[in-house]
Amino acid sequence: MLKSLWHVLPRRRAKSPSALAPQVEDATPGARVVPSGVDRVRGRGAVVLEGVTKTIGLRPRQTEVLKGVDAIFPRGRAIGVLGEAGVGKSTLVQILTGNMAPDAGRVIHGMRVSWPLGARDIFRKDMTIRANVRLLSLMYGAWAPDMLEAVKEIGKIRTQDMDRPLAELVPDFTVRASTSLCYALDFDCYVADDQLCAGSRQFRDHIKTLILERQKTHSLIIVSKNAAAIRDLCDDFYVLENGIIKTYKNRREAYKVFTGVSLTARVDPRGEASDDAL
Amino acid sequence: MDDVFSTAVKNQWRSLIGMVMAEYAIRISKRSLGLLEELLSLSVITGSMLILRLVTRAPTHHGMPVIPFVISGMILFWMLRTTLFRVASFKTAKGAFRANPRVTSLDVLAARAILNIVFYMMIGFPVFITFYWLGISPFMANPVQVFLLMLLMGIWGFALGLCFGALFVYVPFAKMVVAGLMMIAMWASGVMFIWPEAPYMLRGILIYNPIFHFMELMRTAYFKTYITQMGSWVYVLSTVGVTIALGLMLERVTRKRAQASTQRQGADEDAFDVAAGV
Repeated sequence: MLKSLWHVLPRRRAKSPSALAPQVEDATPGARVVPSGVDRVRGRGAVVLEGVTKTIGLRPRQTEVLKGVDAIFPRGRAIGVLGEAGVGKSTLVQILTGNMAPDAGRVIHGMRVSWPLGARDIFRKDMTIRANVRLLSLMYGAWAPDMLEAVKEIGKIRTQDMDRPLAELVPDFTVRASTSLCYALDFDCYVADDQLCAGSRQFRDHIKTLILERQKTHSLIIVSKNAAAIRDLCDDFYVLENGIIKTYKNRREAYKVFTGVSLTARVDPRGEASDDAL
Repeated sequence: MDDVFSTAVKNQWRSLIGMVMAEYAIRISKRSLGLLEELLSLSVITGSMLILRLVTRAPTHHGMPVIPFVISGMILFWMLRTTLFRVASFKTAKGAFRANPRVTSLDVLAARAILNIVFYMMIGFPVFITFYWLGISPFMANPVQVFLLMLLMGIWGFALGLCFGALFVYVPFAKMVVAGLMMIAMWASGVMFIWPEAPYMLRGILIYNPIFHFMELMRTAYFKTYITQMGSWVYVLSTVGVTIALGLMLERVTRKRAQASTQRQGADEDAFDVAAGV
């Protein structure tokens, strides 16, 4: 059943192989070239932020959280954006997902970007899981019965719980259902924040495994303050600091600058070989 | 470019349909009491007007049977009133969909207006046809014009709702003032009387009242025996056009302020720490 979900969304693909080649990611400073299977990577281009400025709040208590952010999130890469509490991570996530427009600058979405993975607010509390899934399936052009099956299967939600309003269920159901649906909708790029992998341990492990499987063909952006928790999911790290995104020569350097701790083979077996090559 | 445009149109259409379905689920399928309240309030106000006419022993009005005369005006006016107030609550519009990048507050407001217009049309036409079957009223002289007038009134209610909603964002207590003004408007806009009965000293003002034009055109469209001397389609259409342009601009201008209280995602940042076990 799950395999068929990859083909649920009718998608217009480029006809010639050249059109499938990454368009913006080539310009990424220090970006790794995906060695093989480029034509299988979802999306047509990168997610690009150009001089993005965002002020939140109203006068006189306005705060400029993003001050001309320039960044490229290449296609087919898993990028972790590290930032301390209050530096504008939530704002960045909202801008990346398209939920918030920047005050200045522009955001180019070369891929279909998800809502924040694991977001609880994506579902209406006064509606059932089934109604919420149907609503979002309709909005994203997916076949609702398949999505319902996927939510039941990935989120391990029983049929009787599908028809109860979310307000009557424990919050864990919301997380499981929204994460499962986000995964099933098969976006080109998944955006996650600190709520990634919230929920029961069994579910977190399951989702983490699924995300790692999809890294071959999908892009991932995780905006978090917890570098240790996302280190094995990310190919590269950016650091959000003082309203701008800083990039570094390699992931180890970015990690060390942010955490003060070196990435060693012991704590980061996944990135060891490729980092040594750089 | 065409592909981007057609995709955008498709996404917008899906969002709008999804919002209409969600609003329907919340307003009608789950709050049947709210629906009954609405019908009851309309019935009470219409009933009191009819009783007033019967007490004064005036079963017809310039050759028009008084029951369809009052009800055709009241349904039109009540559609305007309810659409206006449903659309004018900007703060609640995005609240339930704050994490959803596909939904803007304007989508929700448009969905509310569409639902309200359809609801009143579904009340209006069966009532008019039932009156004809019961012998209370002649059949509508021009059903297409009746339909168009109801549609235009709904659109104008949506446009006025956008204008007043922008005002309510800055001056919340203005809602009470507008509610009072609407009651005055109900008595001064031809729901109970026609242009030849309008006081001469007030005609200079009443001729600029768009609701009066709507009412006059409605009576002409409904009754073969009445041809309006005052109602103007040009005036009605230009009023709706100007109001909707103004309303859309004002909604856009005030959107940031209206959403300021619901912008923060309420991210439970500890969830990830727990998940990561750090």
